[in-house]
Amino acid sequence: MGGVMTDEIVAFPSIEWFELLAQRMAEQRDHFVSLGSCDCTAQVTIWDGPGGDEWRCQVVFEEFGVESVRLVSEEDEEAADFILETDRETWQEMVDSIVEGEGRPGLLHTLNRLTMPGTPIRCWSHDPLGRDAFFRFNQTIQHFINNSATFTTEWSEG
Amino acid sequence: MTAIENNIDSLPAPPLDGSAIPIAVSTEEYVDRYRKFYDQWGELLQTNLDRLDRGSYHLGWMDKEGSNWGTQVKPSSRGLTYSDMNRSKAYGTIPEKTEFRNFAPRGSVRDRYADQLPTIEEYDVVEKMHVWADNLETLYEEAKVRQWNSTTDIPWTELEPVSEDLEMAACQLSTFLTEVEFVAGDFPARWIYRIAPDYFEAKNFLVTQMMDEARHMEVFRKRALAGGGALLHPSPAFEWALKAILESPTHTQGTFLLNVLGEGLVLTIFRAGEFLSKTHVDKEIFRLCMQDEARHVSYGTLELKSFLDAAPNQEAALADMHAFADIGEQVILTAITDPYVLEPLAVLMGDGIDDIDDGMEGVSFLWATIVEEYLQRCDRAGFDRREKCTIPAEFPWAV
Repeated sequence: MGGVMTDEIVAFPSIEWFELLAQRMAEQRDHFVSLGSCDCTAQVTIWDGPGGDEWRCQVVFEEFGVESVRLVSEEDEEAADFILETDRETWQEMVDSIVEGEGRPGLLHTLNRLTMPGTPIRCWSHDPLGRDAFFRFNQTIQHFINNSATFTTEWSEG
Repeated sequence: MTAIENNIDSLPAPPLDGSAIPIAVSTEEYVDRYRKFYDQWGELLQTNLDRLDRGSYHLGWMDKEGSNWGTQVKPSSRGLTYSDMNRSKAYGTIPEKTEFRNFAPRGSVRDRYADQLPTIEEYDVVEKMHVWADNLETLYEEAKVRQWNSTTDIPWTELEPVSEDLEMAACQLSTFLTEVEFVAGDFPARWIYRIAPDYFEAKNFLVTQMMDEARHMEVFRKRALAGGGALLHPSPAFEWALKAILESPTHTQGTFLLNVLGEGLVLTIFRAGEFLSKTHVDKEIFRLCMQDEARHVSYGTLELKSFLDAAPNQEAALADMHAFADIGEQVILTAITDPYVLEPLAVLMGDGIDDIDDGMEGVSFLWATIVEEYLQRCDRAGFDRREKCTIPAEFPWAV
């Protein structure tokens, strides 16, 4: 799995970064169809986003692709099935590992590995059924993130 | 008396319905039984033979009276799903209780045949509240498209050798999970054919659960053997807990035991398995199993809610479920105190037998996670167990 490395450079965290992953998902539709439909809203919260402020975006997965990527505020959190929150450094380590594995994270850097103990990434939800969606669609979400190996991420300073 | 014996004594007696399923046990009995039915069956058959003899047609099937002819169900962007079909009142009205204990499909012209249709005695789950969940149709669609194949979707050739103690722990965990999956598949099997066909959405979902569990049993058996280890020891203590799940008196109670308690526990073990995996092969196995398990847990949570919301006497239903949960929680307690389960987890957590003590700290974390997530799911179902839960909140491990 994993697409071809391109010369695109996108900053993290940004809406564009997640939109590029959404674009990759659309380009690899056959692969994501083979994983099965995925219907959930995932929120990514970065504690030390641009300017040092918390940064939040929601990725709305629908069937075999992404319906929208949107910047949200704290008040919008209940619209998310689950929230993945951590700092920029953890994302950088995870993405570096995926790049090093050419589209597959090392054993210590899968989404489940990083969220299971509640640290360094906290996966939580207002609704336990929403949190269970993270488990139900885990493979799709992992492969979605794995496409970060297909472009260069620019790690902006907080 | 032990705590579990006290709890069993306080449990209400199971309902009488369903306690004796009238299945013929011998050919002789079967033949006798059908001779008794033959008057009615034979009369219908003779009428049809006579009609053929006369060279005439019946054409009763062309009578649209009482049908929903003209109700066109429309597909959504993802195809034609049960949710799309059930948007129409004609086909989407799920009866609270069904009188139809036969194979006549919901939505067909069947009322006029009520006195001619056979009664299938085994269809004794005839109330929506015992099978329904508001996420049933969604989960069924999801289950169909998220199937996977343990033969081809696991990168078996990438299985790397690890130290013998770690491989033994992986094999023991695989043995335990194989035991669990037998029950997880057999429980829905025990109920599918008792559920009246008017609740076919539930029957269909349970079929996907059986397929999921068959695949899990298959993959853990394969895992135990693929690394050159072996299937190791069954767990006598936990097999008693599995028996309690299988023999639950009602579908709702069994679903609570299996899907909320049992599968909730196993979901956490799968997540822990992925966390602890020493190879990409194990990661893939646990991640794929985790997805299936979470569907079952989601169904169980909302099935319990559906039951409690619809029960005619909610206070009595809650009291009954609490009494049942007092026993049911022993399932979790039995699993997470069983050396055949927690010690291999501790070895994997500690990265070897030498550091099993460190691993027990990880098991302690798992314990707290399992209990808290169980209580959260109960809360979601409207079943507050926080003050009544019989499982200790903290891991009872003397350091």
